[in-house]
Amino acid sequence: MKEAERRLGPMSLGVRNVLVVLVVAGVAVFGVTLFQSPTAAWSSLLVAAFYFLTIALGAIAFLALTYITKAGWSSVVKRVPEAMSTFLPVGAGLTLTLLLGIHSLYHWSHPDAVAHDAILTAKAGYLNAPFFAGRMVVVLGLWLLFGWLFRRNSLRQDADAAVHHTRRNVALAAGYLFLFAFTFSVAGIDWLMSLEPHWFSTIFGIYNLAGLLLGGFASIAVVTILLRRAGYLPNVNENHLHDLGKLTFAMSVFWAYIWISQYMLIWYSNLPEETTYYLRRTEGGWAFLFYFNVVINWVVPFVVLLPRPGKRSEANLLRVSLAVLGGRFLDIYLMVAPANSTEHGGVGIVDVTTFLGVGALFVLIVYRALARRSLIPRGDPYLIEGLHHKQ
Amino acid sequence: MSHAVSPLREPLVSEARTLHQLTDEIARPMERRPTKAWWCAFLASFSALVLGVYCVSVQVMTGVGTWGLNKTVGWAFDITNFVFWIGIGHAGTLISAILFLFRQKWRTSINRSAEAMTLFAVMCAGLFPIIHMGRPWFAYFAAPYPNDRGPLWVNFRSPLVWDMFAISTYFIISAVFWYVGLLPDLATMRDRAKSAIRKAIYGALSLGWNGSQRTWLRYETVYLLLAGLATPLVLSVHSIVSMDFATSILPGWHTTIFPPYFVAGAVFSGFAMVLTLMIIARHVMGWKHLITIRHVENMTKIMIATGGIVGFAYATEFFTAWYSGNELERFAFSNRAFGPYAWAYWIMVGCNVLIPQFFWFKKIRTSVAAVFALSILVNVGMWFERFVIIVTSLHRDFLPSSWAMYAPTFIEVGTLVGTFGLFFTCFLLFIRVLPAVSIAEVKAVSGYARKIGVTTEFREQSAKKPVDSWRERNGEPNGHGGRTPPQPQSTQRSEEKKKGDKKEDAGAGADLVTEAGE
Repeated sequence: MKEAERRLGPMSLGVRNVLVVLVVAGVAVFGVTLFQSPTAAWSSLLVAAFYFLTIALGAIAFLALTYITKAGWSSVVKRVPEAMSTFLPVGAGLTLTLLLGIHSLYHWSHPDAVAHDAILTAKAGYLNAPFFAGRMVVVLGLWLLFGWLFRRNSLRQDADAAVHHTRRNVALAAGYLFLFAFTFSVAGIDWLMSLEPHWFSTIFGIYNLAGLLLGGFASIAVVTILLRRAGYLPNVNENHLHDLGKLTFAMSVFWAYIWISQYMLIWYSNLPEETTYYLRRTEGGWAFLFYFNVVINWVVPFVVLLPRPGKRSEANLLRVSLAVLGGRFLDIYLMVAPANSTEHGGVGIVDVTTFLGVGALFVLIVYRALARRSLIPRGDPYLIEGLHHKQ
Repeated sequence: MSHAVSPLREPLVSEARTLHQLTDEIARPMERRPTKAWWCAFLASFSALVLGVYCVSVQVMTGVGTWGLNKTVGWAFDITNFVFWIGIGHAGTLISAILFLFRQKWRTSINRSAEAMTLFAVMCAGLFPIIHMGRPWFAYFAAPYPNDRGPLWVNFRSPLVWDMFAISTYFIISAVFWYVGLLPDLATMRDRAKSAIRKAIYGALSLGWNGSQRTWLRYETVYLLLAGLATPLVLSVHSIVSMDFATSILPGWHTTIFPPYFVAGAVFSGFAMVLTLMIIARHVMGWKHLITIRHVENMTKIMIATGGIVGFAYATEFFTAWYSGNELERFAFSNRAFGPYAWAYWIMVGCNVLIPQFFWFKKIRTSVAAVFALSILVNVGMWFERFVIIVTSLHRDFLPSSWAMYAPTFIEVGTLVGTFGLFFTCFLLFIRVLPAVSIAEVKAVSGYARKIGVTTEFREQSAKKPVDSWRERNGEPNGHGGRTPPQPQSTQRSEEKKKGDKKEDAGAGADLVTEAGE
């Protein structure tokens, strides 16, 4: 088990400097934009924070799902999602920062606007700033707690190889998945759907959940492949990649299924109170991004990952997963940006810099978490199945 | 199958068995005369079926006016039953296709019966739209084909036509998948058959299966491909059924969550039905070591998950109706929960949201009697879900002057009873003529997680009680066919070899299977 002892070395100084520069640039551009166009600045932060928060949450969802289904194959890669989950506190912090921009982002947060709007008045019991902030704190707190518990139990198992850590995580996973469905749905409604407070769709929570799982699984595949290429995770072979590819494929199809369910039912019934959402997104410059969203999140993974070799090839899976991660940005961007801007239909500079800044922060944090611990969960009772995984 | 198994894994066949014993145990019920219990069940089911035939005949001859429908409530019992039965089938496809892709090996002892249930349930479901047409002899009009009716074609934009495609595809793929899965077992039955007629029938059905390596290889490829093809059907069929409602503009029907919500509900009710039937089967057939308490537990866990999704959907719908700020949406839901049909709504919530929460407790999950009772309640709840969605959304529409109530007539209730009769009659015939547990697949997992330490324990146990209930079950004091009763595992293989009687297992390629971990 000498290889199992291998740990990630410290990050090379060059890479580290680039990442730090990206973070600084992100903060600087965000700061400048905040004075010129606060709505654009806060929108960019909402997209970036939600993006990386959902990647971290997707990683926790992966852990919870593999615990509850008693998966054996995933034991050799589980340090990757565990490390990704350590971004959660920072992601939560960034999300809480959005409360400062509540008036720029959320139309319903202006009491005078609500007073002159019968529909918003009817919703005021739910859509009001104190309750909104309260819900945000509660859901973030719950996720932080569970994310921390999952990782702590797993790391403790390295030392004592006790089975009760696994059993505890299985029980936690059951409770977490139950809570998560509700809390994440609330988060999706609050943070994204209420950007257009007159519009509503019951599937919206599930739509975001599908996207979260897609992004989470794709990013686990990316990090696993990068580590493997660098010579770490020597026990991960094409069978594990095959499984990661299958999950990414499945979630891509699931996302498309939810996408079409929402779009088709609203298109078919053609009720003005619902079609506004899609009308705004299929006009002007948005239209291309709107349809491209489906291509990159569904058509590309579907075509490339459907054949068996497509999932087992490292290079192939990496390319598709990166495409999907780009698609995730587009998907979230399309939920946020058109809501508050009518004049343009593209991605602005601040959107890119903020995204890269938060992304650099994500990489720094996840790398640190990966480097601190053994990449092989030595005490995991399912490790033997992960090491001998064949299909 | 990987040979490395985590120490946490438990055997899927809970008692040590040789491959031949497994064949015997599963095939024997078909080879003996039906029991009294079977006859009682069959006669009861058949009577219900006859009642159904009578009721359908009356309404075909008289017209749909024999139902309790009125101008406001144009869809009620009939469509409720249609959606209910379609839903029942979904667990079968989930178990056979999706759990297969997820490498859930415990599916092996329940997939065959669950798939059979799928087919019978879809047959029951398909009846309702056809009799609802009023003139069922024109049912073929629903299919688009070159015709001499001039410009008259089906309306491709109608979800009812999509239903026609979705359900017929579902039935065909499910039937093919089920039949392909049956091939090795049909060959086993052929090889065991004593009468020439049996041999000829099973022989023809087994398509010349010879158990060779090449046959197995092709079989497994086809099986995997069919599983992949059947997987999207689990989602598509009930999604399209949900669109019968959701493409309308009726509050309570038009809501975007319907497709995934209906799918989850279908899997939920399907598992309830699988549990109900499998709990009876494991008891009556003596298959407690094949369909173990862990199988029951796993199914209840899936019910917690799918029941959770259903509860989540109820909550989301209710919340969003309020959140929409639209008074018609708000009314539709408050009318559901507090209007004249509130009793139906609360039966639905009680059975579908509260009942599955009992499954969080291991004591309840492992009590077969409790699971049996709860699974029936879930089926009741899921029937009421469809009734609530359909009737409460319709009976108080946009014009208060046309508000009306609906109550089913004897003919409608009789038709529902009749479909239960059809379902159980088919199922009872199925367990008489086909192996209700997949012999070949159970053999493949019979050695799973059976480790040396565990085997020792088995040895001690079986040394004390070597015969157990197995022989009594089969009512043969001398064991089966002159062979020895189950022995401690260490001696089983050598003894069987001594007897030199492996012919019967050859059909299933049984001896190719070795025990994992050895």
